Amino acid sequence: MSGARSSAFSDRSGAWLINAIFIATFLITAFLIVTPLAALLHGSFQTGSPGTKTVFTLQNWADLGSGNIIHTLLTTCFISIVTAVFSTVGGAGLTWLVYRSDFRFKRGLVAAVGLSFFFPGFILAMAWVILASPGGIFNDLLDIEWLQFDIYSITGIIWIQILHIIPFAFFTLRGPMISMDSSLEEAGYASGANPWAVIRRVTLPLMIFPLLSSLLLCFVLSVEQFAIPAMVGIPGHVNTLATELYLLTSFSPPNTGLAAAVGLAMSAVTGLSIFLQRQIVRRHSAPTVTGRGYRVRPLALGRWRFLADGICLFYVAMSFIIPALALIYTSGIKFFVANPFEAAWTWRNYVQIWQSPGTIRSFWNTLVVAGGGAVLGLTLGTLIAWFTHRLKPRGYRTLDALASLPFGIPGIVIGLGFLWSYVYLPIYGTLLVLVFCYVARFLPYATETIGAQIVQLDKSLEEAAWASGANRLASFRRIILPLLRPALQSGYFLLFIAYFREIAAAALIYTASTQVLSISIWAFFENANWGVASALSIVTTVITVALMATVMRAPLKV
Amino acid sequence: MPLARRALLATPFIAAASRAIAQPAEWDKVIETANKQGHLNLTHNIPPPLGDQWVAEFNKEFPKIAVEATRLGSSELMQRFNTEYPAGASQTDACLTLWDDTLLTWASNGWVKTWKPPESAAFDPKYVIHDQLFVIQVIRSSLASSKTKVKEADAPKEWTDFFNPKWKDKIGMDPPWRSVAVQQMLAVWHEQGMKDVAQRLKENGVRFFNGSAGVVQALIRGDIWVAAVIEPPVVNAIGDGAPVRVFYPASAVPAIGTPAFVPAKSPNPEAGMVFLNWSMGAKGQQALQDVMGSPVTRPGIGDPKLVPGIAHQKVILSTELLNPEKQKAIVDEWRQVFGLQ
Repeated sequence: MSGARSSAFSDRSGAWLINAIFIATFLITAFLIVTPLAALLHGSFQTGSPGTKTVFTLQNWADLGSGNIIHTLLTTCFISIVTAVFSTVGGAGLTWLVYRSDFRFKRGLVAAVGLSFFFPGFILAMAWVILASPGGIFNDLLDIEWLQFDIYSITGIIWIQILHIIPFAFFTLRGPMISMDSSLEEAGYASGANPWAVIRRVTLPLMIFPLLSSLLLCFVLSVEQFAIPAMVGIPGHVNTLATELYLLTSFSPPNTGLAAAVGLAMSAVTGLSIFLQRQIVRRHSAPTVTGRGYRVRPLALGRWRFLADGICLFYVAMSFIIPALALIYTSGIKFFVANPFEAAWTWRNYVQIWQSPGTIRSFWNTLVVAGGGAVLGLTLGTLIAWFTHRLKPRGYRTLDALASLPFGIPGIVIGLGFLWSYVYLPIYGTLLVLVFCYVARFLPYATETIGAQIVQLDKSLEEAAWASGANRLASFRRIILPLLRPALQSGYFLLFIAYFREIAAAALIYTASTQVLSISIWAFFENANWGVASALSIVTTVITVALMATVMRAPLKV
Repeated sequence: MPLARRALLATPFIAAASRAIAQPAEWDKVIETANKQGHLNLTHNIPPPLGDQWVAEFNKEFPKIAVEATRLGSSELMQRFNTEYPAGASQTDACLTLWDDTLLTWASNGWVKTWKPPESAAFDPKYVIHDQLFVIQVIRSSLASSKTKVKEADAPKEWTDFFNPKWKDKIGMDPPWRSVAVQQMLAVWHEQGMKDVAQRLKENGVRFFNGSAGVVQALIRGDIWVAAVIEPPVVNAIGDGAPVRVFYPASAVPAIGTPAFVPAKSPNPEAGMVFLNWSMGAKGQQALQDVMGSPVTRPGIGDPKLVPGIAHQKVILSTELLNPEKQKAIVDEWRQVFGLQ
């Protein structure tokens, strides 16, 4: 093999090109990530927003210690911890049912969880306002004085966030659950232990680190949620760090310095969580995951089958079916009444979508930003993963740290940083700004998905190529890329969905010509045009699901 | 500061600073150039899809000018323009938003084009400010209530009724940090002697929603029974037949103007001028009043269809009362009371 290595390294033209690609990758990544953060850091020490007369101040950081900010921080942490715990438990339960039991509707459940994953948080929140606000459908139909739903509360935020984040926990735990050595569980059953004892003594200990990792990721995801707390928290005076940031920057007179300080403090909380998560993954993932395939004997649910069916149906109903029905209903009426027989039915909400040139444009913009941007994001993510997991040139650790940084930075913070730093660049006001912002924000989605696949590829395959005279670039193109095909497809799917449903980062940087669908729906919602907002949500959901189904079925040539 | 501001508002128009365009021949050239530009970036605060409907009326008259409209809430619009213009990144050719004294700062900074739209001759001079800002509509605050939850006799008809403990946890509004119009309403309440309104409303369980449109939706759903709202969304809801009613208190009707302007540096200034002039003309004004439901400022247009006009109301415009210091004091107080800073 040493011969093969030396052969690869002796290919000087290939090495030069690889070095050039590495430097370009490093510089692009650094520019995308560092520029908005530097703008934020600078802003946090200023008395006003960029473009106005400002002076240096430490007051913004001192204001972080105010009672209200501390209260908001604690509220955010409380909401996020509860959300993370329940989401992880829910996700783990669904994963166990699908991959460890003889649950009858596995394919249907995975499809439903996938659909829920696609359902953007703000659309889910909108649906739940229709369902469970004080004047919503549930209260009106049930009409029970002692049982009044009020979604405008901390409980309401947590409930919607759990429904929204469970699919994420499901997909992060799916891999470890599939890869887990089931022979240990088999041994447990063989020795006469009952299923509960096997879960408690074997499955849980084996899954403890993936569960912890998922818990931390769910926590981060919850902290950075913007649309859900904005929709149901603001009416109930429940502030989270993300909504506070929005309220401090988006409305006059803005308190941009404090917003920047709040944003960076928020990034510190989520960044610390990501750091812990990565430590856990690095130190403890290897013993539970092996390269061998196992044929898992599914556990018979027996009489618990109906309970499992009921729980799954409940989740799917709450997270997708009922909200979707509520949106369909709202999209077909002039103004809200809980009783459909009293409603003034109309098609106008669907008609208005096509009459609005801005909305039509947002369809195309979304296609460019989500469809094309995901290709850029995936390309950059693949290069980063290749350098950091395979070639490991000097500086790869810095590149790795830079690439994982955005996972700890909430979307609204990145959006603010992009507004402040890109407003002076000629590309401001173009779709490129949105694409760059999304690529930066979701870079870890690409690097983690591709990286996880690269580390599983046996290096001997590349070495064989080198021995046959191929340089590293050629072996990457001919060996690695074809083997990465499933990960590339999953990565593209993940990025497309993430770009498509993103709203927090885009809310501060879109313009008339760069408006995307998520912003259009948000704009209709913000102006309380719930009918059109619901109609647009339905139309985009149908189109995107159809589009993604086509993409995922298409053969990918690499 | 308020005195200086009033003096600034009262300053007579300096003819030398103005590029009056009143001659038909000159105006024809502007239209010709605008048609050649063929493009207009309009930034406005009219709720969707009403803004699109209004723009469609403009396009019937000027089909060669394609309008690309950005809809932003008035506060967001201020924020965005304030960041983009000094950076040279603003693409706006014509802008329409609620009155805010920040506009005077922009005007004095030279960010706003000084000119005289031909149609401005028909307007009361108080709506034509320095030949830079042209107030084309008046948006009023009002008290709205749910017809299904509140009997007409019980419905609040004066601002003080809004604080009645019988509405505890049943009242809603748009918070003042979102809207200058709400700030004006609060300034009027203050003038009427109402004190500590933020704290009192917090104790009365006030709920905040996204804009007045959000408040009206909450009212229709029954999340709240009574609300203080800015009028366009509530008028549109009434037009749809929604079970809500509206009152304009006799003691005072806080109102805020909607000024339009053309930025000094815009990519298509002539297109912006043509649009603004059209919006001040009889057709543009009638179309604006019809889509928004609120009264416009051009004389002779008549009252709105669904709500009373301003002729017999004690209307208090924000330019008479609100200033940046008051705005900041109001927003700071409310942000403190409701835990934002």
